[in-house]
Amino acid sequence: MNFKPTLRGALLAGVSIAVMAGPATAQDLVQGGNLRVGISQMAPSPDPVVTTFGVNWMTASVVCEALFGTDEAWTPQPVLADAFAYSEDGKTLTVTLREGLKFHSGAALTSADVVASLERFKESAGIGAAFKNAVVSIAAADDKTVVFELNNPSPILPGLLSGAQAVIMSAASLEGASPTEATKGLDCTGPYTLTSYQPDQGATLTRWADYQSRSEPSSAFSGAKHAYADVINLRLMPEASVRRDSLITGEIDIAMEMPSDFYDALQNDANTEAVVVPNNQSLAVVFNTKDGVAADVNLRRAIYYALEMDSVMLASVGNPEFYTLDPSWIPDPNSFWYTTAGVPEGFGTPNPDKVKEYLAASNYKGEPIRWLVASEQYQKHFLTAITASQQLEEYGINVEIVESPMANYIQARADAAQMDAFSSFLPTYVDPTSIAFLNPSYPGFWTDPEKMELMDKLATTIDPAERKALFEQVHTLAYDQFPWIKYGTEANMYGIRKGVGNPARVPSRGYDLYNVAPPAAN
Amino acid sequence: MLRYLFKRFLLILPTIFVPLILVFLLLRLSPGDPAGMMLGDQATPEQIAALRTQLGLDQPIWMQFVLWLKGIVTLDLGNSIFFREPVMQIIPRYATVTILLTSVALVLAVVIGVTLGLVSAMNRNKPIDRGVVTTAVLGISLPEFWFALLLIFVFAVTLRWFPVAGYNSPDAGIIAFGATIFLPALALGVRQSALMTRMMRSSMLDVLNEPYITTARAQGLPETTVLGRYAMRTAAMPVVTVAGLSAGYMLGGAVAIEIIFALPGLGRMLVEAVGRRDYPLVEGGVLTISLVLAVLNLLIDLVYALLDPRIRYQ
Repeated sequence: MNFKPTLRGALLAGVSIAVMAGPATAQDLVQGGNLRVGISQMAPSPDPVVTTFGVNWMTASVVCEALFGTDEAWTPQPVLADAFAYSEDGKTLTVTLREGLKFHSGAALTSADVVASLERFKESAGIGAAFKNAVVSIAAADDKTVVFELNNPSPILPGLLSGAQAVIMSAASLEGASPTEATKGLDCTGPYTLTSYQPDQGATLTRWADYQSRSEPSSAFSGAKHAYADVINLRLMPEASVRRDSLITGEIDIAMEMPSDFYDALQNDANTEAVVVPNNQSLAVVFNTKDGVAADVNLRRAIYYALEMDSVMLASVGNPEFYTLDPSWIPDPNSFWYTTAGVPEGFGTPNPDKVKEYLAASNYKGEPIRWLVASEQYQKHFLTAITASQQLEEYGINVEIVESPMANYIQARADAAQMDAFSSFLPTYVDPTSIAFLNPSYPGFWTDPEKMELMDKLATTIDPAERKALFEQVHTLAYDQFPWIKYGTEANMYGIRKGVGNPARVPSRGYDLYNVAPPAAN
Repeated sequence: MLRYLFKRFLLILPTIFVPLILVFLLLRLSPGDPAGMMLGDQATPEQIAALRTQLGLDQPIWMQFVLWLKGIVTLDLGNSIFFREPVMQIIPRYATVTILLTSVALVLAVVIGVTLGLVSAMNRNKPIDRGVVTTAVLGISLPEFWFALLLIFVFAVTLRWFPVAGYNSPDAGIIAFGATIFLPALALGVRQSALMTRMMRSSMLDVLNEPYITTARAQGLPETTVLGRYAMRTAAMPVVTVAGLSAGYMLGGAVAIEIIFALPGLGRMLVEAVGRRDYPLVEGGVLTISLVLAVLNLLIDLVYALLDPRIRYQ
């Protein structure tokens, strides 16, 4: 049995879309100039392995590369990998590295660096844990060949290895660093080198003259990386209004993470544009299915049918142009995994009869549902929770909103005895096996036997169509048991100066600043 | 004098240790977890628990306290949980910015306050006096963060004389430094300058009615000498007191200004460290602020003696 053709077919299914989706104006753009980007927060270290806060991966996304990278259809494509193949039994994945690649330090990229990087990634939080569960060993067969021995035949490895945390750094730079202790710098292979990193001011990334780009058309984190800007300056500006004003005055070229309230200000200014990236992420509430009042499936069903999603999303986002009432867990319809399987008719519209029916079938006696929200996520967490609680109150379902700083929120939600529900969000994942909410030890603790069996099959089934069908069954099951409830999909907005070339307008492009050109260069 | 200084230094110890111990206990006893904040929102409880063990956060609080106390006594503030650097190396980077910001703000506040207070007192009950008094009341009532946003709108966005935000250290040149520090310092100092204006006006009016001022004028001394050499020196005493209090207030109140203007100062660092539950860094920050305030108070007492020859410390 040879898995190679099927797997490649599955993984490269999005290539044709990606090729067509390459930047239409890329050929008109030229290299040169500085790209100045105002950002809202910075991690103490640029090392992406030590944290699962995605916003802290920006620097590494530009400076580093992984064996694989996702394209605009969220499909993993080879980046540092030249070729890959599965064994006959599907339990061994062999990856061959591209020839002639070097790290910023000048050292040649070898399979030893890949092994060192991925051994560290394997012990890290988040997707690293999924990777650890999938592999038995990682070995360097020769200088350019890495062999992964797997627990079971599994197609998910390229997806797991295309994340920002799975970047490859030189083995020498990893000395002294652990999965929780950051490296001193980033000795990677990407189109920019990290010239300076000051956690409370910003970072400077300088184009690396020796970068060897892939030749395929650019598509998100795969294909050619043009490195248009000579220098990329990331400037920390925690206040959103300051980022907006700096953009208007021309002190920066891109202002990340703009509240939708600033849309008019940016659109009305002759020199700026508000870029709205639709289908960015799902807003949701996750329930404690293990203990407490929300462990009652009929109560969760009653809550789902009591909610009017439009009001919840409007309260959070503030402008109907910036969200959609889409029930798919996968917010980006460009993803192969996008599905609405199992969604009851009339998503988002309350059904009082069903609420009464399920409340009657539940053991709920009016106890308060302890609903955790993080103060730092006021709009996404608090405003959605308060609106939902008002709607639930009409049916006698009582909510006690527990607002606390992020540090307390993360600690409290991990304790099944301390919470019944918490507000959260869900981006598009490369593979559904990586979805945090589906991890049985992730807060929420959804361990339904049917779901566990389906997830096991999903992790080991090779055929893409079969996998999609399995995922649709999980999706359907969740729309019956409601371990979490999605309200809708929100857009992301950021601002650019007029003349910024090839800005990202789809969520899959994330922080691909190497393919964005500064205004001066246009 | 030396004996007095020695006594004051001894008194500094409890001034520093009491808040430090309180901060240690409050941080450990309040909910929140540095391990969770390090690993992020996608980490599982098992991963968080493993990191807690690695960081020693699962040890009993008394054991953590003993280790912490040992570190303090040996002047070892430990390593930041997030930066993985010695706190003694991190603090000076941020404290320098805050001290510079506060110093410039204090200079602006004193210059504006003393000048306007003097002008107002010299023109008592005239339109200029009423204008200054009204402006001072307005200045005291302005929230600093709002004034900061107003300054950005007028001087950075509309007139474009200054950058909206950011920081250049003095190493980048005095003009580059001044361009990034002026608006934050003005925003931080305006409230204090309004207080000083009122204090200076009131004090000056009192002094101008003193017999020795009348005597000085009767002797035919020029008005500039009367004001500068005799009246100002006495009238400045309450302003020095206010300046000392203002410096302490501004050190603590710089947080909002540092956040708005994206200055990498101690206040912002402390807020972020508290949010991340970076215990050693918070404790180091509190220690620094306590020390600076204690030394500041001592300096002000010494300045009294310089300004008023009647004051002698023993």
